[in-house]
Amino acid sequence: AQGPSPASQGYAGQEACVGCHQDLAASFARNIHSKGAKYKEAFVGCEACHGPGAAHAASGDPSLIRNPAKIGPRESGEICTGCHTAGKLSLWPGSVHETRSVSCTSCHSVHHGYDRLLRQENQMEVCFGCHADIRAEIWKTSHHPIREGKMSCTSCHNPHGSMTEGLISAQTVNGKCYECHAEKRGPFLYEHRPVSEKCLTCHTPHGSAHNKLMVRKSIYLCQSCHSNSRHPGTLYAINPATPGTNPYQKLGNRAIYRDCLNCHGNIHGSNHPTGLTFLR
Amino acid sequence: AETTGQITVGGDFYSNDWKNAKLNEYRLRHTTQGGGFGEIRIESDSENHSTGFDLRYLSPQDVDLGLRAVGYGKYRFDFGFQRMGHNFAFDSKTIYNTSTSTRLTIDPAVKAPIAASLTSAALAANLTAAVNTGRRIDLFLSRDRVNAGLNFKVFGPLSVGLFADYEHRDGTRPYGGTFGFGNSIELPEPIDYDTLNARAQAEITAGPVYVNASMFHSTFDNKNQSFQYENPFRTVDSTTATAYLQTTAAGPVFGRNSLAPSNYNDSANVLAAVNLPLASRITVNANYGWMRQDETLLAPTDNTALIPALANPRDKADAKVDTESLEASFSTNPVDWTHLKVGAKYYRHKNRTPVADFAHIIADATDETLTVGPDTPDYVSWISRSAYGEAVFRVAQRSDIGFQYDYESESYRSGSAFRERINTGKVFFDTRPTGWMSSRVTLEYSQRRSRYPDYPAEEEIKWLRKFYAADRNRYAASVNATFTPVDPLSVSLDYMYGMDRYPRSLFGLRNGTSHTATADVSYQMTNAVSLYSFYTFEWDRTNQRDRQWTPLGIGDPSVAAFGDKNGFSNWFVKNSERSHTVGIGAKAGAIKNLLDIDVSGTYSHIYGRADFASGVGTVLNDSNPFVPVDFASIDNSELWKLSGKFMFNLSKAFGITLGYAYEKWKPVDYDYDGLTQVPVTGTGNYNGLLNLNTLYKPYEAHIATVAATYRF
Repeated sequence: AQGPSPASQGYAGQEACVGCHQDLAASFARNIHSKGAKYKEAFVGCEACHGPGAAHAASGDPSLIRNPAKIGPRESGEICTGCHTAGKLSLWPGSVHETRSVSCTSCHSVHHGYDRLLRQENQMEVCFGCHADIRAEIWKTSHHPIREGKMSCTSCHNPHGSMTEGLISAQTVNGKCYECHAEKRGPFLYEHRPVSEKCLTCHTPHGSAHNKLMVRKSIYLCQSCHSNSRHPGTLYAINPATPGTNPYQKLGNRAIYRDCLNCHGNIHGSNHPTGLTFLR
Repeated sequence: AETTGQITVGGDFYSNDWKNAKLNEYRLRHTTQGGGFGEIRIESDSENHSTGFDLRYLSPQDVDLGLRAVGYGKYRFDFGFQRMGHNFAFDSKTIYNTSTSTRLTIDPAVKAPIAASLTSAALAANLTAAVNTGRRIDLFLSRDRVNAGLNFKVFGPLSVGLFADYEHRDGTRPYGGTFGFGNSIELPEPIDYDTLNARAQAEITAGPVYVNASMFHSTFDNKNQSFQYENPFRTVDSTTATAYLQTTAAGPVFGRNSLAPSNYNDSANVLAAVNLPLASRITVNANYGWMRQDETLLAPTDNTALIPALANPRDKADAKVDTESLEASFSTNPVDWTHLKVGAKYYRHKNRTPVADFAHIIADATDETLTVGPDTPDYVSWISRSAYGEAVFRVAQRSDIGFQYDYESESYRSGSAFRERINTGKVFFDTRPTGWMSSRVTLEYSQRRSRYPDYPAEEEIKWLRKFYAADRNRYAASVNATFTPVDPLSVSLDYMYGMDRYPRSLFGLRNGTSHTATADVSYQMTNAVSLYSFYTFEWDRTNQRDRQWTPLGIGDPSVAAFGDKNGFSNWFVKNSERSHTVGIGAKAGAIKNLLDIDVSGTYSHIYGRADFASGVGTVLNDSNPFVPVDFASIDNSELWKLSGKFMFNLSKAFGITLGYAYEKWKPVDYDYDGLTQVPVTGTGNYNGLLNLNTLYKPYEAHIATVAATYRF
């Protein structure tokens, strides 16, 4: 059975649509949505999304056909979620994008889409259309290989909804990081508290001017939290009276190069019995 | 079946700096100045099935392969392979004989003069000589990643998914080693990792009900559980372990560090959602997970001179963490003009690792004598309870206003704070008053209050607060406006402001502010020609206060007579970072069906600085004895990237692409000034750092590309 009788419910049938919209027919034929008849009993071609089109086909009046790109985001979303209910789409209803009036057609083009029917050639450009601040981040010195094409936004985020903050596609932020950086997972014999709690305490994932995606240069980042006796509380600035012409000559080994990390190499945690300060 | 595809073969040539590690940061093509590349894409589509094959080969270490098979309405299978490099340094020199071994040794003839150095200046000279004649070493990782996924319908509403990805990572990366405060030695850490993530899920979609049950398993296997490296300064184990003594006088002959321990993580998850009348939905998610790590513990020290021999209280790490979460949400959209959502979440992170006393070597409270324990690692555990509500109302045609409130309560065991309470309120307004304009405004205020104790004497400075757990007032605002005054022109303006204040943090990070402004303009000149440009300005600032102090010294806040938060040994640093990012681009079908042009350019300029303020005293009274000089360059950099592609379609099936790219990256930072592998002080003494010269170096490269494409 191919679903309801088109004539009885105001449907014109796909052939009628193709008769006028030949430019759309070619791309649509290579689109998974044109295959819907194989797994959706009620499939009626173009009219599955556009609604009954007999009146429109007869008159040519565009107001007599539903155009998902021109109706409200919720209404157009309901068309798509009529079929897309599972998998990564399962959390779309009530998701932050849905409630902020982002519609399916904001990112996807059913007729002319690129991979995954996206409106832009790559995923980054789709997301950067709204998240413009993130685009600048990925051009910074330290970055995940996003602009190199080795990762994409959906490597970490599910834009269709998540139970986790930031639309992270894992149970926790750390859980997402551990998928690739499992060496940081531990649990360690000596753990560094903020590592266990949230990677984002020290790292900014989209891009940073500082080594290893750190939120600040490591010496100041570490001193944000550590000021126990002597060296963590030391002012590592240049004394103009110190002999020399460059910082390497004027600063000790705790303030140059990788500063704190010159020695505290196991900063994410240590499994050494004497690893209290993450030196070993 | 209809089969389409294209095959591209080509080559590229790098003018200069082709060996630069930063230019090749995430690829590996430094073995030649140019090379061949290729790409094959094949799609096959029939009424019932489709298959796809993609292969992209850029170099032996930069490969992507994808395979896809879909049976419409029945199954989907994906397979992928990705090989990529991660490069750190290509031109370093090491005094060690081996680079990938877990035991780095030094040729005795090389070591002898270093260890015999009688003065710090001689030490610097002997180390420099050893480095100059040392072995050349490249530090890089090679990553091979395989992923596969199969999702298929079993029957009726039930479908099953099986997903796995496996990665092998090997090579070396820069790593900090030390034998005490007197020296830091950068080392090539051996990397030989295997990571496997696997997930199995069953989904049921039956009418209004959706259920997803899944199991996740992840293992991490590190072939190298520890790493030994010879001490260039010692020929016999020293009985003096103090960290502050002259470099050649202390420490063992070999250092040994633990490396990332092998571990695994399993979890089970059930997600259920029910669609209700009035466009309502209830969603419940439950997850239980466990992480385990049980590597054999190393000996407390490899130093045979330390007597008595020390023992561990247990042989294995026995580290274990359990996590559990339960979350429920209800959303409803009963009428067109409102959307409501409420939810609550319980999350528990419980570290069940047994607490025990371990030997403590090297430092006691004054860092001057050897002590033998104990160190008692404590493990942070916490329970988080949160609830939230959100209401969105349509207040006018195409205009929504929304309110959101979040409450979170966290209780810690062995955390930095005992308890945290976070209240967050957010208001947002979205409007599309006309067809050519839309705007979004969001305001947010968040307040975190912590039960955070003053530190006891000698642990941290008494009034320090670690910023991630301290009282915090957060203010955030964002404004976006998008205009399309005429159909082909789109202008988007964004501004974001954020400020964090830590009102009870007398020491540590005290506040931070950020501004981000972006302007986007795109113009579709004709059907064949489109232009775009963007500019982003960011400005981040932080202020922190710290203190130089010696336990029981005059700056020690536990010394009643002088324990004052306004002590004269306080100092301040203000970090500031500004960045400008500009991008332009154009795509044009310059000659219909014959020539397509794609040009783009990006410029990024980041400049940061650190400004200090410090009272001036003397060494004797713990105060900073000099007026500090500000750092005018903190991780500054400039990046240019320009590229142009000219695609000549000689026929419907055959095309030639000529490409040109220009890339330049230039870092400016105080760490680059005078960098050698053995830096010396202004008086010629060794300053305690033997490094591998792994700071990324500037590059400037012209890259020419030619490729031929055959489409079918």
